[in-house]
Amino acid sequence: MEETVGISRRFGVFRMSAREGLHILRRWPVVPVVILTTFVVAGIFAPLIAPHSPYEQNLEASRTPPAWYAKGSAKYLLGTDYVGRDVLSRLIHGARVSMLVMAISMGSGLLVGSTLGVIAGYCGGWSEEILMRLADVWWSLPFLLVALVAAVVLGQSFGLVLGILALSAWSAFVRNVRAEVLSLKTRDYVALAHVAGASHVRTMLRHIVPGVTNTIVVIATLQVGGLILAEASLSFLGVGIPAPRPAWGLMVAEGRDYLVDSWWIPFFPGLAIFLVVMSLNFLGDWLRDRLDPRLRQL
Amino acid sequence: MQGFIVRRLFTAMVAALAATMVVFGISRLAGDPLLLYAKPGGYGKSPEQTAALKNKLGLDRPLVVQYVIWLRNLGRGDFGRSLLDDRQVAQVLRERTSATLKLALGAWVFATVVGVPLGVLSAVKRATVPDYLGRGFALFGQALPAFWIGMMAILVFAVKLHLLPSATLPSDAPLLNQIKYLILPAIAAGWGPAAGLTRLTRSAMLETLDSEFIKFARCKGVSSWKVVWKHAFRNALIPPLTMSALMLAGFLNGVVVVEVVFAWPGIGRLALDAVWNNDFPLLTGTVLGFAGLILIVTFLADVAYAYIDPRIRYR
Repeated sequence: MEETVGISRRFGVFRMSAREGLHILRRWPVVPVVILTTFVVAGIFAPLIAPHSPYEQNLEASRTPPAWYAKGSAKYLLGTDYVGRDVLSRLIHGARVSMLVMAISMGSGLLVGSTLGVIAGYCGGWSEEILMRLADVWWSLPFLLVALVAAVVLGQSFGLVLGILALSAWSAFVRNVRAEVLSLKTRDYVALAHVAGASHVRTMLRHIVPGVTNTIVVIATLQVGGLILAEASLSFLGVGIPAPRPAWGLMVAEGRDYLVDSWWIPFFPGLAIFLVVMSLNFLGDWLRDRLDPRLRQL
Repeated sequence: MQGFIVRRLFTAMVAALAATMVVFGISRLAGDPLLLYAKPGGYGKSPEQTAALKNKLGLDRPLVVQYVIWLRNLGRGDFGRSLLDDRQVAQVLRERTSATLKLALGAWVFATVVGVPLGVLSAVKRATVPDYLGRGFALFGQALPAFWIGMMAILVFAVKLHLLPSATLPSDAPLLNQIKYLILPAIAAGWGPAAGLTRLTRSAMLETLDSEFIKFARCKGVSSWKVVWKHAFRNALIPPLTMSALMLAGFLNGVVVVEVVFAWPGIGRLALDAVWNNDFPLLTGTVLGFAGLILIVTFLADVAYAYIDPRIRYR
């Protein structure tokens, strides 16, 4: 008797904590944050974590299956690619490439787009008209194809990919930031700032910009997943990040010819892209619901 | 309505012009543009041919004049000749368009057939298992790269299970047999849009189901099926439809990648072949053709939605 009570109590405690755990999982984006933290840590400390160099070839061990296969080796946990480079090490270094894309392309797109958005919303008139039309037209250009042309003419390079992606990122910011500024502009405190003698620049920087920060953060998080997918597509097509550098999209492309008997070469980089983009999208949704529910339509 | 069409047409024209400017601008960024048309010692152009080409492109004239000449040629449907086999680019493009349209249509059908009902179901059965499935699909689908889905689908369904063909579309096969070849590529290309559509339909349905007239219809005793499909669905349809114009452009981009994975004989594959062969006239022709296709499709979609929802016309 005593033992059953003990068990049921123990299970009762267990059930409580499980429910609490579920509650926390629902309320906070725990899983995406864990995935993204792993991703960021892997990106920053890549040379320290990775067991091998991402460029080191070992033709004798080419296309070694992952460690849990009979033919696999503990030396290469996720197997090796067609020239015997360690897939895990290339994945870890690939995180660095994706992070650079996120930071530089998104950063510059965000800066330019938000600035133009604030200017368009605050100044109005012809500058608004021109900027909005420009954003409309820009939005409808097929960037993947423009990137193809650029890659042929200018030659493939890391900088080119960053530039093309930055060029494609800014227009979403203009549109949404402007809409937000339009409503902030009519607030009393902005008028009061004018009465107090604040210049236009000061009003924009001190009174408008803090009001649109939430919008900018939300848009950036929602957009950055798409940016990573775009970079992966470019690299997959062979016009993105040039060859030996370990970009995830490129790794998938390199594994294409060996798909049938070495599935791990394209599988893991694709999985990494999927996990990171999904976490970013999830985090974006969560941030939007928290910070700026009006953007729901996005 | 007419005002809207004119305004929208104007935007489309400006966008088309911008696309030509971007392509032209890029092509003139790299030193001598003649090198893009004839590599020295490359494709065996004689000095006379090179001179004739130089004259035709007007390379000795100012940049603006060059652009106008190039644009005039484009307007006449003269996209130049492919460097590899010296055929008219416009001709090659015309041959490849139908395969791309088939794939795009297949993917579009898949996205609609899966996305819309799943979105409605997810909204109606809010916070139950179907809703979690729908939301999970929306979240997963938008994060999966199309090329990766395509490759994994080939691995599972074509290589391991031998259910469907992985390879390219035989153009001489009867239409019914072609469908078999279309399934995997269409799903790979349509997966992302289907997820987006699920998400949009769900949020639009939730909003509509929450409104007063739905509650009134329920109070009146209208059957739940009728409330969902007749009262709510028709009103909720507008945001997904409007957004899908924008989605469509991104979706045609995805078609390029899928065509490469499945060796599909369409425009996207053509563009990439042109990249690998350094065939610059073919590449610019393809890119402009594709851009034109995207602009036309989005324009038609926008007009159709403005016709459905009068509020859009006055934005």
